[in-house]
Amino acid sequence: MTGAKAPGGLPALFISTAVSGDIARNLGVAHYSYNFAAARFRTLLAQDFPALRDLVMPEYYATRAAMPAPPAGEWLHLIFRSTGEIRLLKPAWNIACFAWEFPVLKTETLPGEAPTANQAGMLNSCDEVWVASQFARNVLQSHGVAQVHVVPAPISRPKVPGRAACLRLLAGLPVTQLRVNPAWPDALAEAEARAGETTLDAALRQFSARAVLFLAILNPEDARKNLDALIRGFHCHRQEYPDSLLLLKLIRGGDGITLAEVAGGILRTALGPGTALADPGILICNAFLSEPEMTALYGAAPFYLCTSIAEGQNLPLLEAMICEAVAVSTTGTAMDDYLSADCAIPIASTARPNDDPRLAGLVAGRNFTVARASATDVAHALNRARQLSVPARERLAHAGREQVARLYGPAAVRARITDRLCGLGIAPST
Amino acid sequence: MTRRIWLEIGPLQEGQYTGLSQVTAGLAATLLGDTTRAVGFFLGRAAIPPEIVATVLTRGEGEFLSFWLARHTPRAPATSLNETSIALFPNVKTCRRGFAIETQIVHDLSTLLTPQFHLPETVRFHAAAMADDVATNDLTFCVSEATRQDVLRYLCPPDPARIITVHPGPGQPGALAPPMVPVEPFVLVLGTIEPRKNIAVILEFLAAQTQLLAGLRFVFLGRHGWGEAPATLLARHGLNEAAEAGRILFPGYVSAAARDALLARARLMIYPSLFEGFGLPVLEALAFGTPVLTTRSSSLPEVGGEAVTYFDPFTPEDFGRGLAEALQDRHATAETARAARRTWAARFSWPKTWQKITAAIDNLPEAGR
Repeated sequence: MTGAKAPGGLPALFISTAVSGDIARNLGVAHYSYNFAAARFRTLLAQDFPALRDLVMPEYYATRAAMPAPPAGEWLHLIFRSTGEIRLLKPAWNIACFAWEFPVLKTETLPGEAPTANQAGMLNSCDEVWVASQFARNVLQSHGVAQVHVVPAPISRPKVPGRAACLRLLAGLPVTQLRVNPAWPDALAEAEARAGETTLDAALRQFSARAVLFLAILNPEDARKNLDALIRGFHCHRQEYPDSLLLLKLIRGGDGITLAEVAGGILRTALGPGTALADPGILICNAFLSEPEMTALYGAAPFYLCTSIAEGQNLPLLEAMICEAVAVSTTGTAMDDYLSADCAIPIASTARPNDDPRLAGLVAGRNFTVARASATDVAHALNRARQLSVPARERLAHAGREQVARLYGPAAVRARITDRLCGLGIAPST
Repeated sequence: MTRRIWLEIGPLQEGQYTGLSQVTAGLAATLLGDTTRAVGFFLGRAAIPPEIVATVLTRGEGEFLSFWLARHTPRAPATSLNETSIALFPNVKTCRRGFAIETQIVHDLSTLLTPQFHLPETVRFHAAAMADDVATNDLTFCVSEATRQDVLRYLCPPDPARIITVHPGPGQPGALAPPMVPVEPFVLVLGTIEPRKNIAVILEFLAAQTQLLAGLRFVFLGRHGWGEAPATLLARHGLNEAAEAGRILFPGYVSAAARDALLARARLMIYPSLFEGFGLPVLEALAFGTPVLTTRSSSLPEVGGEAVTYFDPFTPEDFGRGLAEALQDRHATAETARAARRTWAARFSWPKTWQKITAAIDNLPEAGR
């Protein structure tokens, strides 16, 4: 970068996130939850860049003079959007904060397609790209995107109360026990779900005091999450460990998910047509939770279960790990950066050609291989988790926390950003 | 070999000339007046005689063109082996590979960059054609530097030197400018009624400051494009009463003469657009010396320069600040201020546009590419 420097040597920072309400509604449906990542960067950088500004329409500003009270010095623009929605702030150094978890990228525009459909082209329209994983960097570089740097979203450790205190905080959390019957029409499925609705406290009291809670947080409409294997694997595991309980927290941006949707369509779609499955140890929660309640959720569960086939970074998993939940998780893609048998219980998976038409990677226009865990793989890993001694589990929990703090803690991410600012010739924060 | 420039006049078929059809009309009039060059006009794959184009321009609407086409079988353009045919498309390319050299005017990448302001079918039609059009052009003329930068950054043409900024001129003045008689003070808001033009920012302000309407009428001049219709907008902002009292008017499309009369007499012209390729209404108001309040969006500072007042549309209270500043300037309507605006506007003209276009075409090698 060239030009005058801002007082103190720091550039002015601008952030643009989702374009419209549509993005918010689709949060998690696409391959990455950009708004969540942007919020984390905003919090981290607010101290270093007090004049940080959010932009609704960066394309509005063709020149510096178009900005009210334009800041002096260099301008940085962090773009947290999918490639099709990248819009440049022309007077700034534009950085696409991009998450990608598939081995292919769209590198051309076919006749009749809008130029915004070309992922590599849109990324190359920016001055550089920040990705959350080594996997994404390798994929982008192999598809002709040169200026790629690994700068993941930061993960802070919240103040986590003890497990008992967390459970007390969540005692009134509404949950429903898993029951799916292919013969039930939607209305009956919803009525059954409502009839089965209870509180977390009441549900837990049906089991022994020694029951072990596993947590999974996901968008059930996100095909990457491999929800079928997660539920069936846990159900299978419970045949051997009936005091294992799964709290499945469902999330979706915008209006959230109604119980009618969960009972009527989401679970049936995830588990496949004709599925009949009832398991009182699989508790589904679709309620909106505040931030302290989310923290309590992480603190309440000694284990976090993830069966994803591909992840851009996987913020819920990292949040769980920094709260000392032991990850029982598939590896691959971004998770290869931070998961190993030293700090987690890996779930085995098998690489096969993708057969799911819902995966975002197919926008590249060609198929690819994905590593998918089966229900049996999941059950085996869960059994291994339950076979851990208490000291062994605590060792893993501690190692997981340290791993996340080392790679994604605010200090670690700030150091990466400082490196990039130095690379751009901008004086780093002191 | 003679080079003949063929102007595509598809936009002149419109019943009401605004925006693109205005630009096409301005270009067509300039071509008709250029006796030094071989020029031609075409529509689809049909050559249109110059005298027919002249008639259409005089009438100021496209019905005559359809009427004429229904009764004649015109020859095809670009059929002479003794000429190098050069197409100049004033908007999207209606055909490709029909001319030895293809040039195009790109107005904006709005459908690509701000699809939220357009109907989905418009986005599908324009955004997809955009890259292919530019890729097959020998020259691409952008109506502003802002648009040129967008083309370079988002469409990545192979040869940036062939992407050239050519500002358009003001619209054709109305033929029947009425005599200047005293009228009640009014503010003019000029432009098609559609979300991108952002007139809601004005209505929101008026809803909160209804006393302003006692001394000023607000005239929203332009046809309804898409999005909320005027009646819905008025109702949503609780301004039905003001409209019934004639303090807020939505007269729709008016003739060029009536538009010019209103532009010349307005106390202020407001153009609150959120994204533009150029911003003709700003230039047209300045050409009459009328004060302008607009945004700093995309190309608008290129058009308005220091001759207009700006506000930030993303800061709601800033519109009130800008409006007060524009209205309270006692010198704003003085003849010296009007003359200064006219001087600024005079830097944009169709002869200058045409000169830049032809110079670029003349610099092209014979083969085109």
